[in-house]
Amino acid sequence: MTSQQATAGDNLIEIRNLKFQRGERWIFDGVDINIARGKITAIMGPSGTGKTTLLRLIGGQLRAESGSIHLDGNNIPKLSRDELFQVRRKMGMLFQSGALFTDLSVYENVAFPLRVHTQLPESMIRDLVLMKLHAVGLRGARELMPSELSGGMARRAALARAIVLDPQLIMYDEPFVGQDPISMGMVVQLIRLLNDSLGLTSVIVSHDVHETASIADYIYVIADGKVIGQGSPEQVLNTDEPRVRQFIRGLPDGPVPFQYPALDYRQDLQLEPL
Amino acid sequence: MTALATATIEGDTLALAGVLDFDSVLDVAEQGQHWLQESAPAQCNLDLSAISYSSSAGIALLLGWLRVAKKQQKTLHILRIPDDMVALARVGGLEDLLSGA
Ligand SMILES: Nc1ncnc2c1ncn2[C@@H]1O[C@H](COP(=O)(O)OP(=O)(O)O)[C@@H](O)[C@H]1O
Ligand SMILES: [Mg+2]
Repeated sequence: MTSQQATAGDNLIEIRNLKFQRGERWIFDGVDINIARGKITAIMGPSGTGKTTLLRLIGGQLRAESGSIHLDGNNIPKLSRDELFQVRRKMGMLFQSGALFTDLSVYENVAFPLRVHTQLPESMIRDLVLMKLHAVGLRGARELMPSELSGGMARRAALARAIVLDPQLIMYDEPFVGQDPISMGMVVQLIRLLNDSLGLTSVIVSHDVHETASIADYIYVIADGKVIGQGSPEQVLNTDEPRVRQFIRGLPDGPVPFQYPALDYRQDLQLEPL
Repeated sequence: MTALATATIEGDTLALAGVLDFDSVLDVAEQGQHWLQESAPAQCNLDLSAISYSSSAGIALLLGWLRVAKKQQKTLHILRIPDDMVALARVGGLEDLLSGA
């Protein structure tokens, strides 16, 4: 239905022969990765392998020494600053740290990208903020300040902000870190719901094997600058590759309801029946 | 890169066409509001069959018009809403509101 979908192939992102160096060390030494359109792709690997670095390379905050990162036909490392600015509007990023503006309420945090990037009137901004907060279960928590939120709630508020401009791509850096088991289940559900309902393409970077395997459509395992394994979660979980096997341990999780107590939704939208 | 949204009024129906992105909703917002306040009958329709893409801003546009209609004691029936728009509304918990209920 979108023009992007009409013009491009099955992969939103194609990474080819990517090389990136920090000091003497090759963080990436010839990496090929495909990010399939509309799917959830996970990039896994031990701490320090370069997972966060990879997201920054895709986002264009870092530039690769060589190789290509094509996003819908644009080669990210070769884009000008202006072109990169345009492309970045299509990306939502949920970084592990530096989530919310601490001096703004939850509402204003989510409204922020709308105020920066659109000319929409306050009434539409309010509708959009309420919709996105409802999606993450925090419509009733909008007046809270970040300091009043649990870790899981803060992550969900940041997620609402990351999707408020309807990005085409969303990248999650370690979405399961620091989550208690209940909010962990919510985050898993949300990533899947948003991916499937909004026609998003999702990239998850994580070292949590079981949560990631429970939602990813496809997994890459990276270590020592290379892709050391890839496949469906089932294929990766059952691999004989010794380094890939090191990741595997258990942690079950179930679905949970997650709306923070809120006003009746229709009243909130000033649309209660006449 | 600016995509266009257009609104065409015929009798009791406003037909939207094109793309409802975060910019183009503003092309039609006032026109629809004015119609609802001035000339739309008490039972009126919004035909979405010619929408090729809608962002969440398109949902906000509809909510705004529903509020105007309600204030005017008019009923705006939403017709032929594309599946993708329904999915978008569902994520925001609004599928009932926009299904013409
Ligand atoms: N700004 C930096 N300067 C130098 N080295 C860095 C910098 N950021 C990260 N690194 C190094 O690059 C490697 C990969 O880091 P990172 O991408 O954060 O790994 P991961 O996210 O997989 O844990 C690590 O060895 C880290 O120490
Ligand atoms: Mg990291």
